Amino acid sequence: MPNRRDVVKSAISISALPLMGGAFASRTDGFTASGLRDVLVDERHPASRAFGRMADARGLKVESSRGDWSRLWLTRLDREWRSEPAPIAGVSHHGPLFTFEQLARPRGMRPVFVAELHRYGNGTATLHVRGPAAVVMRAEQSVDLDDETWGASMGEILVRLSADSWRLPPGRVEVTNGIATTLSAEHADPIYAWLIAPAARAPRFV
Amino acid sequence: MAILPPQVSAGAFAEALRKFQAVVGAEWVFTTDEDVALYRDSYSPAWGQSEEKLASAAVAPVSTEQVAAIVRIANEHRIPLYPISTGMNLGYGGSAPALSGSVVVDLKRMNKIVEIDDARGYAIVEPGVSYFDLYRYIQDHGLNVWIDTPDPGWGSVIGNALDHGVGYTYGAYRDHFYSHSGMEVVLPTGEVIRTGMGALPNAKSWGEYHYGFGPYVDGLFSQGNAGIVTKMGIHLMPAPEAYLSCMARVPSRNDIIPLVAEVNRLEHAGLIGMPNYGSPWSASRDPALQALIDRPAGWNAAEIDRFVVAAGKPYWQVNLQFYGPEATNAANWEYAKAKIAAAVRGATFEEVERLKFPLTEEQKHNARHRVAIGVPNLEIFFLGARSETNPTPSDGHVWFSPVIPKSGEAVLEFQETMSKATREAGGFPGGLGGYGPFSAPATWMYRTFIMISGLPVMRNNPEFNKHTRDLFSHLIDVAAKKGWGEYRTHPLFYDQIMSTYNFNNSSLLRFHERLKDAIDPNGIISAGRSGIWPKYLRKA
Repeated sequence: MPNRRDVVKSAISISALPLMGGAFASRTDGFTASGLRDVLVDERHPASRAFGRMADARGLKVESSRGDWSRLWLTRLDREWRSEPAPIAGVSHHGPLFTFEQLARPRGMRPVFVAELHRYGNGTATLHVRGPAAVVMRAEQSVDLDDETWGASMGEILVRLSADSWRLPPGRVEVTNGIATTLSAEHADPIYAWLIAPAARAPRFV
Repeated sequence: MAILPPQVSAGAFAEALRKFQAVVGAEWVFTTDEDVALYRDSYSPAWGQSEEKLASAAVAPVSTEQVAAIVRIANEHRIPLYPISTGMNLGYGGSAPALSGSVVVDLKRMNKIVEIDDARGYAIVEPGVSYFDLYRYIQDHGLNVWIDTPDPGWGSVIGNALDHGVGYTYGAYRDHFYSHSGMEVVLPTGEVIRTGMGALPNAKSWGEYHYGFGPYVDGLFSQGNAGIVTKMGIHLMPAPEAYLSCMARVPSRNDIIPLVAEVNRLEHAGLIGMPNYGSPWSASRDPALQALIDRPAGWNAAEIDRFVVAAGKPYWQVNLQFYGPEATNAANWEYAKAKIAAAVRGATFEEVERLKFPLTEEQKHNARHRVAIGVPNLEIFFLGARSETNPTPSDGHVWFSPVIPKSGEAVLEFQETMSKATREAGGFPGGLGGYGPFSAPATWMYRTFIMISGLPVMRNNPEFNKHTRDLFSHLIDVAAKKGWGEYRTHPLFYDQIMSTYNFNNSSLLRFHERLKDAIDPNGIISAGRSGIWPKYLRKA
């Protein structure tokens, strides 16, 4: 009989643990410690809306849409990232994460934090997280939260990541709070919290 | 490093990589697992399985001279190369090679717009220029031309044309290979040639006149493996004064036959742009209709038609698009209405959208179909998300793209044939998509229809993906027996599809192979592309 919380962890560097405090920093002036300015909010999902409210309260640029960010790309981000790539975060379904991962790649950026939440018909949830090891361990605790609280909780993590955090040893965790059954029809498409940021080794094709 | 090119030793490969680095700089040769993984096909129907096609490394040149140097080194060490432009050929293989172990030649750094002329209506570009790039350049410089863009706008103008990609405006422009004019190509020997008028030093019409003089060879470089294209001319559409979008609807199933005949005449006479066929019923969740469609023995056309007619909602619709001065758009719409009304009893008509150019950014964003007015976007990824009509989205898809005649009869025959074929093969994986009585033709090709369908892929579900691959393979065979062939495909199906183009004991393939052996004796360029293999990898 599995435990109520059945946690599987892998690839977490224990040596990173003393650095946990260094992964986070607090600023509330519309410009986070990681240089994050833009956050994407998918109006269709409560977790994303909650993330947006939290980011807005912190003075970040909140770009809301129902999944199509073409205009943002064409009118602003493409130009800005040509001169200076900058971190971008979102809580969304897979489409926007995939889209921005592809757009950011030739500009020398990579996903540095991705949390993927699946909900099942029996109320069980499974969370996969990859990112800085110290942050991954913190995100793991969010598996029990409802959508809105999860979105806000992920937002807190995303906006508080420091610029150096993704240079810390990477970690990965999968955690579930029960026995997964079939995917919930309401949540058939998993929800993601993500941060894409300039990566030291990544080439810029522009 | 995970894999090596076939029949290449680790030492020879390392030596070739060192030489590549000397040409492009060490930072532009990618060999770590993390970097090379970026060239995997995100939509691969064989993700994580032995059938998945994987690169061994990647190299990113910035000039034609560097491409030529890479090719010469590859020849020396027998290294297979796989050129990509922006690598966004999703659904048709992405940036992954046709032969595992190939070195991807990533041309994204070659992103110059060499020349553009809005009075004569052409541009000459490098392979790293995307539709977004070309569009922005035109907007920033206030040029009086449009691009014809596919979905989505991040693809390469050259790459899309070479793959016979398509767009959404007028026939002459939306066939992107037809719209190209002249190329610069690095041959497998490293020699650089120019085709069409580009072959004439100081040519004044490279971007305008396709053919130049003598045999026309550009087709060898489209969906082919005879060289690496480093520049290309492309025709641009004059920016119209206005756009008018209208809808014609017809009541019953067989009405598509006279409807297509009339719309063909309108289009081939140049009176309309791309027509978009559909059915108001395609997204219906009516349980009674669904029960008819899901009958174990398959749906019955007459039964479906009776249901639709009784419901009083049209069976088919076609969106007609007019470009030009407002007065001629309006006159052409009146003419189209009269012709369709005379041909189809009970046809109804509706004006949908009027636009007068130039538009503000807000107006562009709110336009009903931005690609139809030449505005590149990413909307297709929004459409892929979970919604009422797409309740269980997949991670990706592979496009099954058979070409059929441009007639209503062909559409109806295709629906019935392929619905049956799909049922026989166990249906679409997970019940995601499929052909049915409301499947409508795609009209990107000027003179044919494509009955395109995206077969779903689930990245973490090998069983699901095997079902997709098996179904895809079955559909290829069934289509071929009917004389329907695919215009483009994923590398996993190159060989099978090429094997269906087998007139006279596959004489076309054998001709391709003779050319390949003569042009590229070491088989270094895009081995296996479109089922054309170099001699050393060819099956007996």
